[in-house]
Amino acid sequence: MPKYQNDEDYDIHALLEVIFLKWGYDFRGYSKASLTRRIFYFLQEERIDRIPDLQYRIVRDKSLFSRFIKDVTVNVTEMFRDPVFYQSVKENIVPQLKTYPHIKIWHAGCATGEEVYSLAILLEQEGLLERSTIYATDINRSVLDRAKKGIYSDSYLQQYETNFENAGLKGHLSDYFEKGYDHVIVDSALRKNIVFTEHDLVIDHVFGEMQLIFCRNVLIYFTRGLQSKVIDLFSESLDFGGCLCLGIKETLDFYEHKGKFKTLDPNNKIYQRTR
Amino acid sequence: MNTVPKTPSCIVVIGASWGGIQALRTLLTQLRSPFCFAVVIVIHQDRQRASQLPQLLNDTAAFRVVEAADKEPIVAGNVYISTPNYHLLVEQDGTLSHTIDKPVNYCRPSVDVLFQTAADAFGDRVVAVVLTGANHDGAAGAQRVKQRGGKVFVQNPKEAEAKAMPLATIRDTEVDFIGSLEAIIDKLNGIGQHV
Ligand SMILES: C[S@@+](CC[C@H](N)C(=O)[O-])C[C@H]1O[C@@H](n2cnc3c(N)ncnc32)[C@H](O)[C@@H]1O
Repeated sequence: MPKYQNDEDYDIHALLEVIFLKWGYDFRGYSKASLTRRIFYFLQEERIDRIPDLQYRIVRDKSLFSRFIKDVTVNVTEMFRDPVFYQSVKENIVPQLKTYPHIKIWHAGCATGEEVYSLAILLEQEGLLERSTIYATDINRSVLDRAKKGIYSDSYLQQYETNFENAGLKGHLSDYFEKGYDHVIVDSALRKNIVFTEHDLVIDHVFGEMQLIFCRNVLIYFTRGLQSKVIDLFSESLDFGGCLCLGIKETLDFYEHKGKFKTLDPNNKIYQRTR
Repeated sequence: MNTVPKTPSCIVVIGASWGGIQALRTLLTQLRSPFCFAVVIVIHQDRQRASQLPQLLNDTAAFRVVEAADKEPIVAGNVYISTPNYHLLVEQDGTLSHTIDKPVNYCRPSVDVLFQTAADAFGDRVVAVVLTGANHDGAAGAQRVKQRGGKVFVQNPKEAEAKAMPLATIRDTEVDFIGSLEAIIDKLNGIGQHV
């Protein structure tokens, strides 16, 4: 049987191989359906007709490749996505964080930063932000630049306020923003303990002894094989007793070494490394 | 009867929106089991009141109705339902996956995304069913299903609780069948017996 279902399938595989050879970024373990959608979107944006043409040009044009990374990754995010999850963080993780003199937190795949600031607000309300160092990483440099600035269009603010209320936090979300003409800027007090930096979960290494790792809605883009590899990386990066939070569609159920983790909240996908 | 989970001979992808829950309940109670295909459903729902739906539909049906899990293999005889706020996609290796990519037609999950990825993965082994709904989601996806050799069944707009979605599909695509919900169920029961 042929290894590829059709020519298009073959073209995509070839493109990913070439990108890996030339630029060292490895998309071969990504789930194909979403990646293919994004690649076709990218072709349209760049007015390139066919994948083999893209393949030819992308090895010769670094800026085209940068735009590729920017466009094929899915960077959609929001503040306090899944409000109930944040309630669970407060219940299941915060009490334990309070026992540490210093807290290290890693947001892997933080996109434009909304999730990072959401947790920072929660930590601030719990009196923990002062003693936290937060590492926020992503493969896509252009979203990190935006995350660092902390400037957001106010068109989603209504939704975020609703999420904030449903997450059971005190006061109003607007207390944490400075209002601009059609945007808001995150309070500088929230930002001072956050380090934004590039990190590729597929090829880069372990990230220091963390008490908490957020990696939400990133593993959905990976096949099972790559998911396992990345979970290995998280378990090596976590302190004993540290927690791992995944997105609600993600799970450790299939993970070969899931015995290393205890499930703290099965619905909100909160796990604790126990061994 | 074979009890080993098996890859379906074809997949039935269904899109439903406004009025869709009632229509799906009817459809799932009248589908004759066991069937040799798998059913994958995208329904537009309020993002807060989410996950009771598979349970609700499971209670009425004689087979397994579940919320689709990440990388879950599609198995014949099962029914998989979308999760609010996530697009649901069909992979070429016969599994299901999700993305939180931007809404399509203001919808997440979007019927177009399901139909298009199903068409790319299963080619002519796709039957797309467009039920009641008050927007245009599904029309572009139905087109892709036809291009790849699959079939498209549409609920008769006159009988649908909201007609915009069936109408949009009929306008854009030469569909294979337009009929009442009952007639569509008959057609699906027919596929079940062919293979
Ligand atoms: C959908 S966003 C999730 C944002 C946020 N965590 C949330 O749940 O709302 C996925 C992010 O993962 C990033 N990503 C994809 N592949 C990655 C990799 N190999 N290493 C690090 N980040 C990656 C993307 O650039 C994107 O910003």
